[in-house]
Amino acid sequence: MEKLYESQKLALWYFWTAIVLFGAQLLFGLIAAYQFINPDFLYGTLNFMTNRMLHINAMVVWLLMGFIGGIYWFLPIETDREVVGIKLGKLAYFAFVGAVAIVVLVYLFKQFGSGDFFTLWFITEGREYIEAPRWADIVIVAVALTVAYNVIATTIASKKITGILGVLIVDLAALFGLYIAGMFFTPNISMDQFWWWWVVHLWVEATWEVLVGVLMGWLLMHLLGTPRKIIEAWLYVEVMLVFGTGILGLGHHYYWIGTPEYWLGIGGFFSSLEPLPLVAMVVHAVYDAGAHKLQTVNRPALFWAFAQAFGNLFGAGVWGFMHTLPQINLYSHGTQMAAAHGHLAFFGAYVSANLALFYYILGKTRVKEGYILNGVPWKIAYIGLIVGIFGMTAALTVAGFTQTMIERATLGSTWEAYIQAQMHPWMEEAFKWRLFFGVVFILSYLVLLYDLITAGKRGEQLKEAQLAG
Amino acid sequence: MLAETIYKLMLYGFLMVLFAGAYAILYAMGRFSRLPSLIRLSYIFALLQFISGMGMVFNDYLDLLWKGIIFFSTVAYLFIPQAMWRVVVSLHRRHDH
Amino acid sequence: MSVGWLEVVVATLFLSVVVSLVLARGRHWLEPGFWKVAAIITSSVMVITLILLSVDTVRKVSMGSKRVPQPSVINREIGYVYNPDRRAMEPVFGKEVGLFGKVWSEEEAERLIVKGKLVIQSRNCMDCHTLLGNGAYYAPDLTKAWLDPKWEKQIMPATGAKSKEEAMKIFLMHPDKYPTWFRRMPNLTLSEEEAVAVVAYLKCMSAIDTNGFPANFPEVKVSQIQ
Repeated sequence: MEKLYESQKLALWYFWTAIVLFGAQLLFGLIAAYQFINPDFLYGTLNFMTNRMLHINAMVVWLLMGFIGGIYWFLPIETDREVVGIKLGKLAYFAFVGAVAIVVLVYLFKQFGSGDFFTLWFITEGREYIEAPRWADIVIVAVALTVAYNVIATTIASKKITGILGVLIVDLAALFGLYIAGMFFTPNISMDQFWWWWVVHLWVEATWEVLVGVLMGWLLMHLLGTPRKIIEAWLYVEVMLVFGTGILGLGHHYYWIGTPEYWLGIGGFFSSLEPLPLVAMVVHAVYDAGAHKLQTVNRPALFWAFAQAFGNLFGAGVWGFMHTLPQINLYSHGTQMAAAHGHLAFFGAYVSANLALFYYILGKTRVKEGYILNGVPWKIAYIGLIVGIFGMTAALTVAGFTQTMIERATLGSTWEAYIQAQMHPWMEEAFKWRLFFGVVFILSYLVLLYDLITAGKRGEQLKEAQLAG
Repeated sequence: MLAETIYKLMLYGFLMVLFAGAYAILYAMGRFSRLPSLIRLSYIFALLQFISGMGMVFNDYLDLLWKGIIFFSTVAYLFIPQAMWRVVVSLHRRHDH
Repeated sequence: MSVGWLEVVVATLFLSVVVSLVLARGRHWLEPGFWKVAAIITSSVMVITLILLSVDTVRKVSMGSKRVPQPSVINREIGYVYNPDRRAMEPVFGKEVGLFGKVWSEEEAERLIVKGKLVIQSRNCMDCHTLLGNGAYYAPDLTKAWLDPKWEKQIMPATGAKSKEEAMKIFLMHPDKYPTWFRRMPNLTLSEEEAVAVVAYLKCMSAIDTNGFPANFPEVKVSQIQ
């Protein structure tokens, strides 16, 4: 195996940290899911609100860390040199991990503070997904700037900018710049949520999608030997379609938060078009699968890359479209419908991408050139995780339908209506099934973890690659 | 009843994109493997997608404009897989060494 | 300047396609360079449109606008009725009745609202509840919590409070003492000052024009003012 660039070693640190945080996400998700069934569990000690916060913050951080790891892995290969400022990059990694650790400990042991700015700066900001206290936000911005510096400086030093790097740089600027849009306090909740969605939506429905496009592009180029020109053309098409529908699709978060009525039209129109590019892109994914007859030196990486294409279409496209029209959303907004969509969409679009990347990197570091990374455990984890997430999503979809029809469309959206819907047998059953599939998911994660740690090192007989051409 | 109307709209919307996805996947698989039977199967999903879309279009809860947007989508989905297949094949033919 | 949303949509799509085609002429459509132009133009058109719309929206959701009232709205009766022309429910404002037995000046009300928001963020309300429908789904939506029938029906009798806002305050300070079903709100150690601020905040939030969310809510009418 080739010697690794320093940047690639850093990539490995990021990936391992990401996988650990993935486990943390699942642990807190499990506790929260159990609390739906047994609300007295850890009541007063570790309340639902804390578990939920840890669940979603762990998710955002581990996915980001995985992406950053992917960037550090491919950057030296793309620029054909060591990354400029890699020492700073490593320092930033430690700052990132340190900040995350402190924030988590404060979440767990302090949990909340009094109603003043000190709490917002040092304990929690209390805004969904971006609960991290302001001091941690600043650290994250510094880390992001370091990553951006590494990318830009290395590109300049290599004296040429490939199309992929160009897209990456612009996208990173947008991605990290957008984070700043959430770093402020206002007493006006409509203003608060207006800018908050600039961060959340333009992250997961725009800049993150493009970032994954870049990383998957690199993956396919190196794993399947897809020609650079095809990757580039495809990447530009993806940027055009994703930004073309997603930027004004932001309006689908502006139906009900006090913003003007024109967002109902603009948001509804663009977001109902959002699935069209996803359906189109899946055709290319099938072509790629067929072209290589699913043969490759790294089966798990390839399979997770396909899971990404299909998962994105189903989680984001199908489940997203179902509740995007304002006429429907008026009744489903703020129900478990959003949770159903969110779980499958994140898994399909981002978890799969990160797992594909991680397996690819492991294949490069553990398997000799000309041998195939394969085995049984990754398949068990693959099936288990997919079954788990679809099971959870199906259960939450039933819950979402129930809430929409009963609490909102029938009983009038009051406090009592909420309770009545939550106590409905369909709802109670849905939460039980969600917990069941959550357990399936977490057990599959443990198999995944075992495989990631031992793949290529178990003394398994790795087949020699006999690929055409 | 309102609850029923909303539930039907959600269900049709869900099925429309689901079947559109299935159509695209099966069509691409059929073209790749040169299996006319798979392509024919995919057309069944194309039809199901269209019918689901019509379920939304003929729901009186939506205004004419929204019916129009959905109708446009449902027609577009009929042609996307073929169009994309041609694009993908041309792209690869041009750039694959 | 009144531009309809449909015009904006059509204009952005038209501009993206036309300008892309013009600037990309001469490039073969199967070459990356063609799509690079399309990507840059489309993204730029959409971003510029978003920025322009955002400037307009920020103006329209600033406190004191038609959609988001000034903090002193907490002194008035607030209702929520169906408007058949809009085909949506909307907040309505009645006479001055004060809050917690006093009429708050604009500065006092603003301080209260700032405090209320700080408390809501410091206690992570959004990780159990939804506010304007955003948040977690473990507890009810709070958009119209101020107008919810349960305060008068159940919480006032349970707490022995003489007014709705008193009942809300007492509940918020000890929610663990007043469970309404088997899922209980934890005690978040709210001080009296903080609880008063949150009640004011909830009242202010219920006055925001949310284009009819939540729908189907039991109407609350207010006394007619001249």
